[in-house]
Amino acid sequence: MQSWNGTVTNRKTIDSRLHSYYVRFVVIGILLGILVTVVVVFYSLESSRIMNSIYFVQEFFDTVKELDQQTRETLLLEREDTGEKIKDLSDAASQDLEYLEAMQIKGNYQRNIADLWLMYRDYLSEQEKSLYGEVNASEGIEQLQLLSSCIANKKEVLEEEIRRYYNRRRGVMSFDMLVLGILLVLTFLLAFLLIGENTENLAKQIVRPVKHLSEQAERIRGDEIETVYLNLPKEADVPVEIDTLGETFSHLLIRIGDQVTQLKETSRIREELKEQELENLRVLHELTSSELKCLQMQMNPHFLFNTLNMIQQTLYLDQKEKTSYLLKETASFLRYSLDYVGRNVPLERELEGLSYYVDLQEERLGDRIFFEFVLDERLNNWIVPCLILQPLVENSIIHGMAEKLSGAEITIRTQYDEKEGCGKISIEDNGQGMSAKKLERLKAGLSGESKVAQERIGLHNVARRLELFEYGRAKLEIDSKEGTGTVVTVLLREQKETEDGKGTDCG
Amino acid sequence: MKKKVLMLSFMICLSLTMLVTIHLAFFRGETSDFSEDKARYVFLAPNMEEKFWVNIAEGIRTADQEMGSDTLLVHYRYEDDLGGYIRDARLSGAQGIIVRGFSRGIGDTAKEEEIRKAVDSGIPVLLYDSDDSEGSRTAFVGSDNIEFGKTAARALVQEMGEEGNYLLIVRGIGIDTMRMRIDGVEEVMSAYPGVVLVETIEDGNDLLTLRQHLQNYLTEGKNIRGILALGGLSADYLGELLQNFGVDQEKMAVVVTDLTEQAAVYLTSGDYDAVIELDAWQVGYRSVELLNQYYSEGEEIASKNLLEAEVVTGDNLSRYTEERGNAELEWNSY
Repeated sequence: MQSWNGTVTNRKTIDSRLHSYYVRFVVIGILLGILVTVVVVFYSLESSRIMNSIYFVQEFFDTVKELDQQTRETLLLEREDTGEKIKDLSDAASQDLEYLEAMQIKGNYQRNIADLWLMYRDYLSEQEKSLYGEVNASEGIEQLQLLSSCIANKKEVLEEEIRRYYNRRRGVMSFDMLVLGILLVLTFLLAFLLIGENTENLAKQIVRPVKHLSEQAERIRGDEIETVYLNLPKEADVPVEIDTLGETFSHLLIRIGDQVTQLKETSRIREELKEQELENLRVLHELTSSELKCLQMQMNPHFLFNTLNMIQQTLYLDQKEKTSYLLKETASFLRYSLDYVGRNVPLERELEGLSYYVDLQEERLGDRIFFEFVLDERLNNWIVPCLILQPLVENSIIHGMAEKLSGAEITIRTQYDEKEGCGKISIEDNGQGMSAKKLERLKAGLSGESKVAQERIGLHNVARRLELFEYGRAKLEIDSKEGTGTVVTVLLREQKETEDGKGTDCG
Repeated sequence: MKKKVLMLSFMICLSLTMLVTIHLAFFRGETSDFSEDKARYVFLAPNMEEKFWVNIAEGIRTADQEMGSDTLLVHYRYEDDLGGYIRDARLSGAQGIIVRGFSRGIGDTAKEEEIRKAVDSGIPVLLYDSDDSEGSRTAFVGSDNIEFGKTAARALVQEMGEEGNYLLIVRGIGIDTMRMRIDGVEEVMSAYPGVVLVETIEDGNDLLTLRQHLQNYLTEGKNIRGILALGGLSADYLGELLQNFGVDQEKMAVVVTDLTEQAAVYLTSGDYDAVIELDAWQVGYRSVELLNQYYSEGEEIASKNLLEAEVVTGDNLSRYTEERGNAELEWNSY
């Protein structure tokens, strides 16, 4: 089967590998356990076999001694109740001798056992003859004594043989055990090395690909996801799970890479759009600024014309001081207008500029009109568009006070409305006012719903400038009552001034 | 590769371990070549360490291996118990008994009695080393002491020449074996009138006595050119004494009997010129051979089975000092 990385593998799952390793280890462990058990059991059996043989030697000769004793007593005392016991002793001695005969010991051991058998059988034969009266009791006893003495002489020899055998076996077994111990240790060592090798292989088959995946994942952290290609080492024996992991990871990388590419493209497009939008805003702002400037520029000529007329009159009348004063005020007003054209200024500055205009109007209109400034100092630092109030005052003068020959009053009021959080600059006059219909029409024109009348272009100018000021943070309100007067109010949302107090540049 | 090597090593170790374990597990003892069908003899010896007895035992073991018999090697400590051992051999079913001969004396009745009982029950009893021809024994296997003496005398003449004085050293003139050997020497020397016996020294198995006698004769200008020692402790100590006395090896022919280990050393060093030795290995071999022939072929065992004494020199010494049996000697010790 061809795996995702192009190598042909005989893949197994991790579980199957672990299972096979486990089986191997268990088999090895069982084998070694069996070996060790066999060795231990054998050693124990061998030791007990030798110990038993020494025991049986003692047992045999003790039994024969007792048998001889019983036989002699039977013969001497003519007892008849010892038959069973003598038989039991004979059988016991025979069994002991059989056990001893089964021992495989080289040298004289087997020969001595054979000799012992012969003597013992002779003894039993003589015993039988004596007990059954075939021979004289005393002769029998003498012969039996001879034979039992001969048998007893073998004891020392047999014990010595077994001791020698034990020493030989101990030496051989020690050597065998040493060899076996070395082999077992080597086998265990090799088994552990094999286990380690297998474990290492398995770990490598799992760890190395995972490590590689991890390294690739690290690269993904950077900005290289589109260039990360999964190239796991070509392990011929990668487990299925790892292979699947790698394949999935690879597909994931490709998909993520595609999506990242898309996102980047989208982001780039958005960036471009944003830039375009900013550019548009800038252009708009410039246009607005230009419009503002244009709007501002619209107002100045009317007033300038009137003021120059007035100066001309004073000059004609040779009123030098007045002329000088008028020129100075005019210059101040013009300077203000030129310096701050298209810009925003603190209200205080705007009021100062307005005061130049008001002074000039007072000079021109005399007692016909009375200007009053009612100011709330809390609004002094509020930022307003430059020359926003002069048109309103001019509008009051022109439209509100035109029919009044005297007693005209124009109040310029600034007020901070804490409740609504806004500032109000109102130009109040006690002029003729306007009808509701006219007011309605005026408001519609100012809001752009209808065309503004030419004579109201100043108001429209101010209204438009206020709309453009801080994107609608200010607006113009008009309230008028025919025959009473008109109040034009500039409403400002609370704002902060710039550090130099000169206002912000609309551009 | 590493894994294959490991696996192979592991399988080899495991296989070896299993083989050794199986071998140990199924081991049931040593292999014994005993068989009920073999003829069973008993060899009785007072010593199982000296070369003489060991050589006899080796000869016996070789004969057993060649002829398929089984001889029990029995070492006894107490001479007085010899009768009992002969009895034990008889009662244990031995088909032949090889026992050292003894001079008749007090305490030997039991031994003779047991020999008689054995012979009467059909068990051949062979004596070796010395004979008791008047007893009940079946046969004697060993050397003729007269011939032994003759061989020794010829060896001396061979070494010293037909002219010169010589000393004769014996353990005791009254000992039968010595007497017979002396007779043999005299018989040979009678043919060489130029070879003169200066003195017969009886050392009584005492080193000081031997030393004194030698000193007298070797330092008093007796012009001794040969020394013949027919037994006793001469074989072991004569060489040292001669060195102490500053005897010139080139001018002194020395012939001793009994090829002990020390005698072999002196033979090698040149202190001795010859050692007269009865090949003990032949004694053992011949004894078993006679018994086997008796049982297998029905041949009667001759009463006297005499082996020739051999002259051992530096040239043929190795034949007598090397082990001539490859069987491990297992003794019954009492």
